[in-house]
Amino acid sequence: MSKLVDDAVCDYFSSLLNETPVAQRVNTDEATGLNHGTLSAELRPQQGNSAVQVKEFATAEVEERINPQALAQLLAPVSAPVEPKPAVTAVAEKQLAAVAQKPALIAATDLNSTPESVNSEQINVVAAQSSATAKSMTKDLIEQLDEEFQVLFFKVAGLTLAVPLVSLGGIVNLERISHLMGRPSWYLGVQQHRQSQLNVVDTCAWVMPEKYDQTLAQNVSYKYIVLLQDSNWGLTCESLVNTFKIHKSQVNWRSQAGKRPWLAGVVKEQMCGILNVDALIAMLDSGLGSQG
Amino acid sequence: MTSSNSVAVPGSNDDAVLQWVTFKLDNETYGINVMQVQEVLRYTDIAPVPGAPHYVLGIINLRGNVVTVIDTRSRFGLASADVNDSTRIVIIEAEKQVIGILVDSVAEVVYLRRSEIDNAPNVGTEESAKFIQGVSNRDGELLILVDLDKLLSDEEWMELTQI
Repeated sequence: MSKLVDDAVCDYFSSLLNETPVAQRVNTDEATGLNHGTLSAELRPQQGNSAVQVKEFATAEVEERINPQALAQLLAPVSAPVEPKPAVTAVAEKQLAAVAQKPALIAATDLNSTPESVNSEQINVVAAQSSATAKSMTKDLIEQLDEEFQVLFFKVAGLTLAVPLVSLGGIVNLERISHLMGRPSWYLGVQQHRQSQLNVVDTCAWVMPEKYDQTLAQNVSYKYIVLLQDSNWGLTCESLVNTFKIHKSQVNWRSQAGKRPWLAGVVKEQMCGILNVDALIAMLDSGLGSQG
Repeated sequence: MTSSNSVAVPGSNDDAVLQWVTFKLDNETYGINVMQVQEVLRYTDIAPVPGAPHYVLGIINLRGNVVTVIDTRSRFGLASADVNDSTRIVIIEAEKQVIGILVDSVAEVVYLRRSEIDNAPNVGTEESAKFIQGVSNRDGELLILVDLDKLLSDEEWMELTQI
């Protein structure tokens, strides 16, 4: 890990230690100048209307448990100066050449068809596609963004993530989630949104499945859904931090796809992951977890 | 999907109206093809069958016929719940067999246009992901349409005949 990143990580930890509890943090949504109205008219917090059990969130305890490990994992591929090419990438590139000649593996189903269980071969090939295209996706994202661009920071289980506003489809309150059987544990269910179905992702379970145990699940208190572009996917979050205008140079862009193509890079000052929404949507569409 | 539960609508052949019997399980609403439903019974004692598969609750005597009752909650990956006044056994026909499925309650028969039915997200990795035929937004509530023929695998349907 470079000295610069080391310093930044220390700063990040310091800021977390000095952070206000969640009850105060929610109040600071407005104090920090986040204009809810500009993001979505539906963003206003509504308490007591959610079918999801809302419990008091032991912020300090959860952050203490999650942040160091989670951040270290997120940063690992970024901070390594020369990341060895993962074995899976080499296999993936070979498979990709073969896949290019085949029709899409996961096609849209009609009512006469049924979703088949995704076997390991399919997962490998999809992972290969995700991995191989992630680099170009990040490049596309960088090209798509202006030199200075706005991002929204949001928090889940103490972990801060950033999404470029150009990739933000909106923000809605978490309301009634309908559970669908047979879906991965990170798939919370479906929420009605403007006459369509919104697929809601348990962000904590998706981003850090290895840390997501029963205790954490009970402590996480989701309030909002961050919509990903114009897709029908949404990430749950506990609180919205703020929107910031940042310069491209303020981001450590990932030069290699690694295991997490959904992570475009790390915002240096805030030391938080910035999402590659296109890659994220592609992974979710394929039913893949955060590790591909 | 079978079109046997469709009702012809003049001038809209490609958007037939489909009828679904809805029932509740764990506060979610599910729909099944009305043509596959034979009758709905109040809960009656289910006689357990030693050595039966885990998804079989037992058997009931329906006017002299033995009907196997499936544990729908277990099949759908839901926690078990106590029987109450609303509990029903829905007698259905699927894969040329008559079976009963235990549900929390039966609600109503709804009419849905084919165009009102959406595909469920194709991210399922478990067997139960196959059960969902589609979903529909009805009065702001999600209706999950179940393909009864997929409720059991071919081997399991075969197994039922040997109980």
